[in-house]
Amino acid sequence: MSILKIDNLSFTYDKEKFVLKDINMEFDKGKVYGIFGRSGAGKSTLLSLMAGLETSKYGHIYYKDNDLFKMNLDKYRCNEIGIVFQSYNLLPQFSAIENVILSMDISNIKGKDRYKKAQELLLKVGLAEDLINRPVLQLSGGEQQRVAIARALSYESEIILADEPTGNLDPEMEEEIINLLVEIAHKENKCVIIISHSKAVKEHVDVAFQLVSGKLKV
Amino acid sequence: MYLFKNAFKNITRSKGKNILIGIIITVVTTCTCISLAINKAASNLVNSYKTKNPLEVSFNLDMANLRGTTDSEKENFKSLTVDNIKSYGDSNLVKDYYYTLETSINSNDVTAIEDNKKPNTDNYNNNEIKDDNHKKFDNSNMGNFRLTAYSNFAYLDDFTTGNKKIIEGKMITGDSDSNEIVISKDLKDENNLELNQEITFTNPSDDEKSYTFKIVGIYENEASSSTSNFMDMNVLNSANQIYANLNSVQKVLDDNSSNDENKLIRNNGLTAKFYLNKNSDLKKFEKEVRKKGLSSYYEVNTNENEILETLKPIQNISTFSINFLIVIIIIGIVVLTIINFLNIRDRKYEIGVLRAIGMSKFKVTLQLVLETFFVAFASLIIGTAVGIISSQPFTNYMLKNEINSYKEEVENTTNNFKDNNFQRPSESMKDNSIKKDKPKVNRNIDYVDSLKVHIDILTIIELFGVCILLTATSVITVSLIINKYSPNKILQNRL
Repeated sequence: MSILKIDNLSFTYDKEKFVLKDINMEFDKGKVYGIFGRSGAGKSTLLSLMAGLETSKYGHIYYKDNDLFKMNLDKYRCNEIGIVFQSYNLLPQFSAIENVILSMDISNIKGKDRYKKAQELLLKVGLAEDLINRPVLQLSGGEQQRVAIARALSYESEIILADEPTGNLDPEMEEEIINLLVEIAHKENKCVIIISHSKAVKEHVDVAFQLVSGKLKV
Repeated sequence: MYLFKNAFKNITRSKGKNILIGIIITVVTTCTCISLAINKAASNLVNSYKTKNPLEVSFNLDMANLRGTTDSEKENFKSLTVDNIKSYGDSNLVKDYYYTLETSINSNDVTAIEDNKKPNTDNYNNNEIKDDNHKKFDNSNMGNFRLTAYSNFAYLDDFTTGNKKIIEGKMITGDSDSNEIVISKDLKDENNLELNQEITFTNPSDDEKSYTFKIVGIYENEASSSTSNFMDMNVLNSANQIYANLNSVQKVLDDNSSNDENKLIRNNGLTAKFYLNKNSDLKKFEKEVRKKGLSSYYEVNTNENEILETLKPIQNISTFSINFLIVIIIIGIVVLTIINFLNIRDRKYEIGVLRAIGMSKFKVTLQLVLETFFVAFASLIIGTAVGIISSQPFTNYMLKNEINSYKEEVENTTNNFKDNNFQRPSESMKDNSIKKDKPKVNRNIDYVDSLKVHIDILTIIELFGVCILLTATSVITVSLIINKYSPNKILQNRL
């Protein structure tokens, strides 16, 4: 059984021009998936739909055989998936560890060892120990993206959605982040779906999908 | 729990904005606290004043209405009698009552005290009085002296308030003989009268009918006897007022052959005042007396306005405080709405992130509202403290100003009449027969000049209500805006 299944999905913002047309995909745990395409191909829209940030009247997305668009999307986002954004989308008023703990709070993860757990996650994604309590705005782009990945992992979800996670990073840092995501998928048996137009990312994914003008090119 | 923590963190992060919100809510709370305290104290004072000063109910003839009726209807009209008054007084609703009988009489033995001042009476003469409707009535049957009797002399205000006092002899009581009278010192001096001397009076409508009275008491009028009246009638001079017992006055009234409209207007010289057990029983009492036969030409009136007049400045500041409260709350709501709107716009990105990582709209709203609530709560405590400290001096200041402006207003009105105690003929008639000297314009009202305010638990609950109202504004604003936001769009727009 696929953890996530896209079934004949189409999407339009204005009911005239379809951004996505008849998309069919299946995603399993333990693999890294890459969705590639040029700007405007519909990659980010597809990720928004998979993340439950948008819904569509045309077609379905099934999460563990449940129709995503009929689920409580807030709960889905805070319990079932972790999202990594290109621009990190961390809360600037909080430190690195506070951002991670806040995610745990939102997904209702309780326990006195949350601080320790958040600390472990940050160390696991490669953030230096002395940066853990630093406000995120004082961190570099690569460091902020590591915090964002730690935040996505904090949900203990089985799916990680990453929208251009290396878009703002230099090639060296890009390599490190991709390796980290691949490691998470393979070692922790998670389904990692990366939206990107980077060739470097394409080289590391297990399955690659190509979107051309809203259509899937196999 | 984390929402509380985040709310606190955000408050300390945006100090400037929250201090501004705090100041606004503190001002609103302080004003609310003062307004509520003033309003409550004023309301308590008015209620206690009403309780301490029972309503005086009287029946006044509606002359305009009566004049508008046909002759046959006039014939059916029954004016009040002493028996009527006694019957109305015999009610469970009535605590006490009294009535007075009053008539004018003449004398060949005694000279009446004349007014020293004679205002311009070009438009009027002694025998002709105009009422508001410019109708004339004959005054030829008016005597020079006023003979007054009280069913209960304890209600004789002039003596109880000290305007008049017995300086020789005794006052008329219920046990007095029917021929005993009490006269003024001025009248005694003018005519060289003595205590126990007998004097003869005549009926103003029939000189043949005479009455001999014995002087048993002399009273002194503390106020000037020459209370000028524009009608220039001796009978209205307080020095010519003679107190007798009810039988004496009734006899003169019975002998009065005149049966014209004037007699009707004078209401047979009878006036009555009723004091109810409960002021709220007024309507019941009116219903009861109507049932017992009180003519519809009589209006049932009370002295409520007179009682409340002394509280006018307090009622004015109470009204002002409530209006001020409404304005300040509206301004508070508008300003807070604007601040909240700008605040949410500034924090759009943060809201987008929180929504994207799974925080529900409700929780995002709750967190933002908690921030406002914490600031509002802190401001509520400060505002209440400031309100408690400043409400009494502020009230004193406002009350002093209000009394001064009210007195000034009355003074101006008096000056407009050039210090004449102008009294409308219609008022004189409406209050039955010949009215006691009661200046209408040159009033010297003892306004209630202190209002003790205090903040009780109910006021604090009301303040909390205002705090909730202001926070609710925040909830509505935040909810409306957040509902409009799509996290995806917020985050995409930022890219």
